Amino acid sequence: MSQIMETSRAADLSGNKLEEAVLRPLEKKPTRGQDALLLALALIFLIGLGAWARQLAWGLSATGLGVPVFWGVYIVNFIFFIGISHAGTLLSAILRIVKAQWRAPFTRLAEMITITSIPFAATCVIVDMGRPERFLNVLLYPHFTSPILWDVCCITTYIIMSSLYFYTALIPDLALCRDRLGSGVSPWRKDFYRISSLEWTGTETQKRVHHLIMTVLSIVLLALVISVHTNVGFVFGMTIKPGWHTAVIGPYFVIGAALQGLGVLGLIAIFVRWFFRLHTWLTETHLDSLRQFTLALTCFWGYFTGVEILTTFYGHAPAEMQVLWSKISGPFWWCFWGMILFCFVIPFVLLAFKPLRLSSVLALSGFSINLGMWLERYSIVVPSGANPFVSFVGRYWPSLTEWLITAGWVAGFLMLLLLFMRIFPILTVWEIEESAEHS
Amino acid sequence: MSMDNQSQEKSSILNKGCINRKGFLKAALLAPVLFVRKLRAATDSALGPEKGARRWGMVIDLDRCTACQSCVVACSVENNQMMGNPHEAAMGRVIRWIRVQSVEKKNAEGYRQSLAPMPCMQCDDPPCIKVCPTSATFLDPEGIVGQVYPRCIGCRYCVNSCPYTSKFFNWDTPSWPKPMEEGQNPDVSVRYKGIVEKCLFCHQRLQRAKEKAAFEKRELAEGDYIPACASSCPTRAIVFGDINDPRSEVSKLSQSPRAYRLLEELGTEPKVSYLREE
Amino acid sequence: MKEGFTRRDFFKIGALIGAGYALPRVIGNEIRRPAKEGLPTLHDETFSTSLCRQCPALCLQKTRLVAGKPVGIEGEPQSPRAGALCPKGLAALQELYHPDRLTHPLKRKGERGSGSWEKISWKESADIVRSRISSIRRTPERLGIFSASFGLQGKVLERFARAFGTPNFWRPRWDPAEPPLDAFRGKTGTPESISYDFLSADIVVGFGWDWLQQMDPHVDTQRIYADMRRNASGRRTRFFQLESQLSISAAKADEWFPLIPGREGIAALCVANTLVSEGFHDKGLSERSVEGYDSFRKTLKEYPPERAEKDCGLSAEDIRRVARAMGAAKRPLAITWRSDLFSQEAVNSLNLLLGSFDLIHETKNFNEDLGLKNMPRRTDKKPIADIEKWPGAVLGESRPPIDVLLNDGFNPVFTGPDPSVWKKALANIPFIVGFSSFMDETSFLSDLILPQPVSMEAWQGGVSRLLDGTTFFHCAPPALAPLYDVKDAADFVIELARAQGGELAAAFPWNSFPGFLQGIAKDVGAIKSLKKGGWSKISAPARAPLRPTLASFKPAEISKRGEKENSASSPRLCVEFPLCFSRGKGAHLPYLQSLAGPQLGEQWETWAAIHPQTASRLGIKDRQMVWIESSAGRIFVRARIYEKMAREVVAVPFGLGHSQMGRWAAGIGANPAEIVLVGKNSGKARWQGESVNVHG
Repeated sequence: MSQIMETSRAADLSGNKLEEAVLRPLEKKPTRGQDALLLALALIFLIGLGAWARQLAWGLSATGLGVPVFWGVYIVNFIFFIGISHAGTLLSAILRIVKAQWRAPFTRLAEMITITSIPFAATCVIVDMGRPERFLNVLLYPHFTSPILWDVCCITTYIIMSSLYFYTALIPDLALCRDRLGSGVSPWRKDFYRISSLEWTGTETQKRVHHLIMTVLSIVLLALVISVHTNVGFVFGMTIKPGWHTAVIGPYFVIGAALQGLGVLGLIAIFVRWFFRLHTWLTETHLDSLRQFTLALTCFWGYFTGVEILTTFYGHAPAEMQVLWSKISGPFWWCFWGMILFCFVIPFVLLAFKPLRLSSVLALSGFSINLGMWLERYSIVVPSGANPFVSFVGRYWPSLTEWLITAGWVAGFLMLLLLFMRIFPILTVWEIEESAEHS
Repeated sequence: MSMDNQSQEKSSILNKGCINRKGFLKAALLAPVLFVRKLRAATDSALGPEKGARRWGMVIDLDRCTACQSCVVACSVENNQMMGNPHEAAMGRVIRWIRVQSVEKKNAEGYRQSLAPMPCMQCDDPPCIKVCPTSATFLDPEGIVGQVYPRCIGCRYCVNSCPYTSKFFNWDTPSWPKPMEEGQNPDVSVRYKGIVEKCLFCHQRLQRAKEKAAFEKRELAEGDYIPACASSCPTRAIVFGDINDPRSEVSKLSQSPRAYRLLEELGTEPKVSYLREE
Repeated sequence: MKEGFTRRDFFKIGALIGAGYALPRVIGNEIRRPAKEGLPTLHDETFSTSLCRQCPALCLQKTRLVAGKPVGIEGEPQSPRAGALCPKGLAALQELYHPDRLTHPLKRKGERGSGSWEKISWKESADIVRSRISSIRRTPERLGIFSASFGLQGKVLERFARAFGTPNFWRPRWDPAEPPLDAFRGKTGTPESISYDFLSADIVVGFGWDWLQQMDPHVDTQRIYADMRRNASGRRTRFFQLESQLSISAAKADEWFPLIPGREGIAALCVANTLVSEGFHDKGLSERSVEGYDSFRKTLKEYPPERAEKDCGLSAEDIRRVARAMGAAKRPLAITWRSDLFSQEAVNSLNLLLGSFDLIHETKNFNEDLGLKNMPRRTDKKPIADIEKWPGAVLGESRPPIDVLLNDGFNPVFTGPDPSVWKKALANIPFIVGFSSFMDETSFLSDLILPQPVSMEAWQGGVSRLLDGTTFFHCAPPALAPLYDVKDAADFVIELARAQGGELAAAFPWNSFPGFLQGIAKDVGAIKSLKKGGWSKISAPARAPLRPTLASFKPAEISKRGEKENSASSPRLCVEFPLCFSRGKGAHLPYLQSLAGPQLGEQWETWAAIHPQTASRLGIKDRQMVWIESSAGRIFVRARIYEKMAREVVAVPFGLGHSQMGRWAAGIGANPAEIVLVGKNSGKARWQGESVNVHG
């Protein structure tokens, strides 16, 4: 309760100050450091694009893949970006539905992360395709039993719905921008704010409709959040490949994605808080709620991992065990134990103990979780590929092209996120004010 | 509400309970069942084996086989397979539709290494078909698992889901230095970068055999259609034919007490059987 | 509010389900069933019979031609081998269309081995050879001929040698493919070949011979194995294998005993000892007065089964097991390859002890006189040396004994043994003419290279021997006109002889090789089959059992050899011979490159299989590149850990490691012939059992 009190007091005391703090970065000319950062990210992204262009010309022989490891880093990245995208929807949708007040300062950032990461998730799959120009064949000759088709449907819906969600939540703040942003903003941006705010004036009717739409979208998105990542899990679970064919993989993926989403949110929120000096609105108590939520999910994730390993081990099917041993003590020990370390041990220690309740530590654990979740996806995708039922045990190590594209996509995501931060208010002003009113 | 009109025609269950929640629940439960049944019916008729049709199958007698790999070369020549080079070999990218795979067994009697020629198992319930997002791979009416190259998007999902590792992906454009391409079999298309390919039981030979039989105004007889691996096998370890025909050698052999199928427990219903070594 | 909303949501879901329900039907069969792609209609599809010359089996092939171009190959279904072909025969199209074939005659431009060549015409090359031949016409023994290609072309070359008057005509042999012929040498010399009656045996025991991959003719070997295991009578021949690794033969065997390479002789004598001590041997043997039997029995005392533990890596129990299985069988058969004399004789002694000599028959590859009719007898002069000792003989004299060397298909600079010595010796020969379809390592050191047609492009004929000793005359016309400016060596030699005039011309009353072929076809009654390609039977299966003898068995030699090599703690080399590279040929064809090591999934490189314990002792990891070093040289290969082998052994396949032979062979893998030592007295390669150093 205390954090709500605190928020409300802050908002009460400085409603105008809040708006000013949010709008200032949109008005101010970006510093040279910001520009340099953006430029560096753009450069890395361009290098990634170049690597992809080279791969398009050379075929997937530019990768380290072969028989029997047919899927590698691109698929890992795909799940990774989908995981990142869960930050927004999960937090804002679930928390909006349960009306958790501490969500308010996180929602905008979370939704931004969702919107900016999904394109990179979707393109990962296209990068992985042997013939990307035939992508539309999925719609021209759809085959309904294929989990990939389900994925295409889910992710497309997810992109559309989360864009709508982001936009709807943005409308009142766009109106704020329209009304309050002054000379520092270029005319085209003013036009953009004017048109996109849909003549929002904040009347009671508007607020009621807005609230209704937000509620509906939250519910739909919650279902989508679960379905998207369950489906990503199904892509693996629906095959009969050892290590993939497990019922737990759907929920496991959902939990993993949620954990990763929170991790990335924590990391970026703390960066943003420091960068935009938002300490007044994004208080320690808010961070504490996030910390608790992340800790709970870390434990959940650990539970799922344990359940999966125990089930496999107890069943002791030879093909499954071959995959498991290759992870525990075989050639993939580094990603398996790395995953345990970064996803569970480190975040647990960092988040569970009181003396460590520092914002920097939360950021660190967010980083650790993301690293760990990348390793988790690697240890799901690659070891199963390398240990098929019948074939020679294969080796795989990502090629330079794969690393470059990975780096490029991460940079691209961060670049897009920074660009969004320059155009859209970083906090959901109306929601913070609303939550203040509520209390 | 519009629901009334629809449901009156369609279903009594909906008719009764269109207003109350129970009815909705029932309908909601029933609809997926109907959907799945319809889907199955649709996929079965489009892609499944026709009843009474021929079902091509193969029996490989491991007691006769000597792992000489004539089948591998015969298949490569017949099906215009890529050349390969040391780099591709090291990366596991050399495509051979049939390969000799060592399968190791350790049991009470001791160690046994079986060297099994492995073509596509031509499953009756192929895991690769289910997962293809574009219907690029399909089960033809005579039981051969086909692959439509122009439709394949190269996602390699089918390759991953094949428990026998019998599907292959073209990581690169296969090189055919002059005049090597002069020797290509004109009946078989040369594959290209970014698509999946697989053993088709030398489907082109079936086409030819059917054309020939039709020209001679007769039914297809046993032995008219034999894939390259079977016809070139020095030890006659590979027997091929119609397993729906109880008189064919292949269906007799597949009844042998020595017969087993690879990874039978997965329920893929392979049409390639092996005869155990004694 | 809340409830109404929920209901509406239900409607939405219902609509979605409805759409999903209808969609599969709407999409329908037509879209989903792939469009049928028709085959091209081929009006001009033809088939022609051709003859494979990649090994002495000379199998008949059925070549499929579309628009006159060969596009497919299979065994000729009606031929004696009933349509079977080995992988090498099936890869023949790649030889025809190989982009690095020799396309026209080449004359050396720079230094020997510099690799710079000048394109010349056939007439020019004929002139060059003629002038060289003329210059030694008065000293005919200064002409040397290597004839390593298969088919009747060799007979034309031999005829030329005889007519010219030189004794220096050599036909290289390939020991790993041959049964232990030296064990049967008698007063009339070594038999040309023997055939084992596998089907009448009830147990076959292989000693150190991966015979399924090595034994000639390859196709028959595979077939006989299948019939041994599964035949119409339902009788099954058992098969044990003693070999240093779980090779293909060992994997197919009922039981495999890991043996130290090169120790098959000692193992066989230990088995013999057990047979005698347990009373399994043929009791009537001494009465039948086998020459040398008594001294053999005495020697056997030195070989108790326990000795195998130290010398062969086998337990005494293993030896007893083999002995009892053989002893209990009615007709056991022990087989090995043409390795060193001691091993051959020791293994054969088992057949003698058990009275199984009627399972071994002498066969003749073909009539000695075939193709040599109306010829002056061979000159009385002796050749400068046996082919094994050829380099020594050439290097031993200050002036090389040969001035002109015609080389048809022999490639000792690759196959060795000791390629470097061959290289040195060949460098001393003033003028070398190489006949070859590809730039091989030996042709590379020639002065003149005359490109050969591949077998499909020219008239072919030869005698093909089945495993049971039945012989057939196989012949085939060209399936297509040569793709390049090539000429058969036989044609070239016939033209050369006729241009020389005199005795030489008189020995060749035919204009060309087809004419010569026709003459032979007439002799063997195959004239009808010549035109379209075909066969006719020359002789029935061999049925003459060989006379058993132990006369030459030298116990002294045994004990000497047996005690010699226990010292080294370094691993022993075992060279294996994959079928696809038999006789060291095949690596230039990509389809064969992909076959080499099915047990380890190895292809396109040379690997060295090592037992895990040995590897860990040497600190070697799986897939690591390692040097293997002997006193003869060293090679760089990929180490592969293979559990199924004898300890302290490195097994390396032979066939890769070319420096020439085109893009798919040159620079790929390593050649174990470079580290194989040569027996001082015999001049034979010691493929098995030499100590080597292995290090990373």
